[in-house]
Parts: sequence; C-alpha cells; structure tokens
Amino acid sequence: MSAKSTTASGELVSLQRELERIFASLGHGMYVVDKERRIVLWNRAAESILGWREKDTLGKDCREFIGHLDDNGEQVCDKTCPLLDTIEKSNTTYAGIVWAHTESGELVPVNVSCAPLLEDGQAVGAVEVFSDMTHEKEVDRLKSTMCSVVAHELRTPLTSMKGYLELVLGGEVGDITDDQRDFLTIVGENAQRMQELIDDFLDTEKLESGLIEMHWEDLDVGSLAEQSLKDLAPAAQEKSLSVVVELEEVPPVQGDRDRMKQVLANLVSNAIKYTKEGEVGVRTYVNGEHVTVEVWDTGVGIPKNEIDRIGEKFFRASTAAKTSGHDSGLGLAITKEIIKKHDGELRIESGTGKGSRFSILLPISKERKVMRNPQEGSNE
Amino acid sequence: MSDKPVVVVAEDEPQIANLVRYKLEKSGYEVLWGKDGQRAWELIQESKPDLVILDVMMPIMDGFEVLRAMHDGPETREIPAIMVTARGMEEDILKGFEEGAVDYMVKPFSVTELAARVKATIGRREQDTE
Repeated sequence: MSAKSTTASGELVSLQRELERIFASLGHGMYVVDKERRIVLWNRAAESILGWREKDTLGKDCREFIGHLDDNGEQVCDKTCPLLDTIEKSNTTYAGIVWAHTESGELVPVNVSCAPLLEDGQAVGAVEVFSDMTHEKEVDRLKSTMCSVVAHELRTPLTSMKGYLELVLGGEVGDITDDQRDFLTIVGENAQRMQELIDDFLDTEKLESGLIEMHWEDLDVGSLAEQSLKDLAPAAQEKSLSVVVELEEVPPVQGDRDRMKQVLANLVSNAIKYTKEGEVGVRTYVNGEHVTVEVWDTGVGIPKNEIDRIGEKFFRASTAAKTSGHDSGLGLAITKEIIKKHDGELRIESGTGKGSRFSILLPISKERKVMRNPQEGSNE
Repeated sequence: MSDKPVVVVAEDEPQIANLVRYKLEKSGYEVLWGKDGQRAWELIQESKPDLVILDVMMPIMDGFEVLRAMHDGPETREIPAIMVTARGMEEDILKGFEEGAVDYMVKPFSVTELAARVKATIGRREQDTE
C-alpha cells in the first residue's frame, strides 16, 4: 500500500516536472495570472518576446508592465481586457492582435488568446497565450507597399509606351509603312495585355484586402449581359461562333454597375476564348428569390474534377491551358469575389469537351442598401 | 506672348510630360512643363494658364497640394485642373473634386482622349466667361 502511494506521488512529481518543462519550452509566449491579474507563471518564450524576465514579473499586475494597446494606441486593460473577460465569463477569449510593451520600451504586435483556469467550476485565474506577429505585420506592410509600387511603377512606363505608340499609329509623327503599322500594333496589343494583367493583379489585392468600394444601385443585369455580348461580338464573329441571347424580363438587382460589367465581360470573353466552334450565349431568368444570369458556350469545357478549383487564384483548367497560352488565371477569382460581394453565387456546370455554363445568382432587390443621392431621396 | 491657350503640365516623368506636350502643342496649345509640384505651382502663378494637368504623385508638392494652393489663391482659384492618377486610386480623386478639379484621367491614359478633354474643358470655360 505505502509502496504504491510512493510510486503515485513520484509519478505526480515527475508529471509536474514534465509540465514545467513543457511550459518552459513552448514556442508561444505564455503566462498565468490570478483573479487580480497578478502574474503567477511566466515562460521563456514570453521572456524572449517581451524581454521581461520571470523573476521581475512574478506577483506583478500585468497592466503595470505589459499594458496591451489596440491599433489606435489605446489601452485595452481597463475596457476590454481579454484576461478579465475570460475570468468573468469562464470561457476562452480570442483577442486577436494587440500591442504589448516590451522591457526596452518598444511595442510589439502579439496575437493573444486567453483561457480561464477553473477550480470546481469557478475561475481562479487565466492563462494567456500569445505569439509575436512582428514578422506578419511586416509582411502585410510589404505587401501593400508592393501593390502601390506595382500600381505606380508599372503604369508609368506603360503610359509612355502606349502614348507614344498612339502618336505613331495615329500618323501624328509622319507616315508609316503597312509593315511598321502591323508590327507596332503587335507591340500595342502586348502593352495592353500587360496592362490587363496589372489591373487583374491589383483588383485581386483590393478585393482580398476589402479595400474595394462598391457603388450600389439598381441594375438591369439582362441589358448589361447583352451589352457585354455586343461589345465582344467581333471576337465571336472572327471565330464564326453563333451568338444566342435569351433574355427574360427580370426585376432589378442591387449591384455595382462597373464591377458587374467586369464580371459579365470576363465570363463572355472566356466563353469566346475557349470555344472553337458552335455557340456562345447569355440567358437571364428569375429563379425564386434570385435573378440568374447564365453565360454558356459549346467550348472545351472544364474537367469535372477541376470545377471546384475554378475561382482559385492563378488556377487554370487543364483544358483551358491547352487551348490558349496566355491567361493569368485571375479573371475568375475576381469574378467570384465580386459576386460574393453582391451576396450572390457562381455555379458552374461543365465537363471536358461538353462546353461550360456559368450561372450567376443574384438576390432580387428588396430594399436599397445605401442612401441614393439626396435629391432623388427628397423627390420620393 | 502668343494668343494660344496656355496649359501647365505638372508631371515628374519627363517622357510622359513630353508625350502630353507633343500632343497638346500639335493641337494648338502653348505648354509649360513643371517637373514637380512646386515648379508647376510657380508656373501657374506666373502664367495664369487656361488649364492645368496635374499628376497626383509628384515630388515636393503632390497634385492635391498644388490643387489646394490654387484653390486658396484668388487669382488661380478659377483655373480648371484635370487630375491624372494611377488606377486603384480613383477614390482619392473624390477629394480632388472637392478642391476644384474638373476632371480626371487614369494612367495609362490615351493622349488623344486627354487632348479632347483639354479642348472640352477650355471650350466650356470660354463659354461660361462670354
């Protein structure tokens, strides 16, 4: 009996040591506070992230030295302290990224979550786990800097290239031969391709970062679809494709006109690009609470097992890659994001060699999402 | 002084400035080039041009600062300005309109279209002052 209990307490001691070792060796910063937010435990990673040593922190109120700040530089300790929240509600709190004071007086971004320490169902303290987000913040900053550099530094040379070409092709600097015109036209088309790629790239970044502004209004998507088909008709004619338009009268939907045009132009130009012979078409109809716009073709189609990946950035269906050499694989990613911003849905039916049918489902306008211009409002 | 309408082009890229100058001179304007915002502002004050083309991103004074300076000056307040910006910054342009910009174009722009807008803006202004 006594031998057995000795073993049991020996196991407890070794278990405790084991836990201490684990606590100390965790890659995440971690500390434990009591109900008064005084530090009880402080691990090595916390020390290396914040610089405060364990012996200097034990027994101290965490507000006095770490003092989390939000992105606006305001103390969160007295308002929305995640530790306090955790202790009061006895549940886990994810606080997100806040700024913590280091021993050397700097601020570091940390990603914080807290969990209560319970004894008989009562919170007696809390544990905070945090990771250093300096690197992520830096990556974020570099990404947005890169975007504005791309926007400015690539557009400036493109403006020069396209502008001077316009002058030469426009005959404003003298006559040019037919061959010169043909070759310079090719240069112009390629500059245009570069511009489209940059535009797509920036659109993707903007949509992802939520920086895009939508200008809501009631839209007749049928006429927008018809227009995009008309705009691209020359490309269809060049390939002798039949163009089919079946427009049912549909109620208006709330949308951003330019962005919706972009979506439809993208779907129609894909339909034409990936169809060698047969038809391309648009169709609109009402489907319950939604207006559906379909863009379909009799083209190369998308293998069934690749349909789910359509809309992934830079992804191109294998059938598409075989048909046309150049395409960034961003168009449908942008399309999908824009439709999502409209509370809509993109459905794809396709198969290898079976053509494709892209259906956009958009909720029928019930009320206006935003105030229209004040004059219009006062007339109502 | 010639009696051609005067356009100040504020643009830090010499090649783009030359492009615009070439097109506008051919279209019958006298073009003054400011290679940065401050030089452009000096030219605007000296020449009281008929129109200003303002790139947004420029050293020393950016396009908005020039626009504000024009707006604050009693003699330059009425001069129309066309802003030129990179795509993706169109929202910023809204603030340009508040400061008195009359139009804007997005890079890469068509010089033919720019010349057409210059003509339309100056024409509109002449009608207004008649």
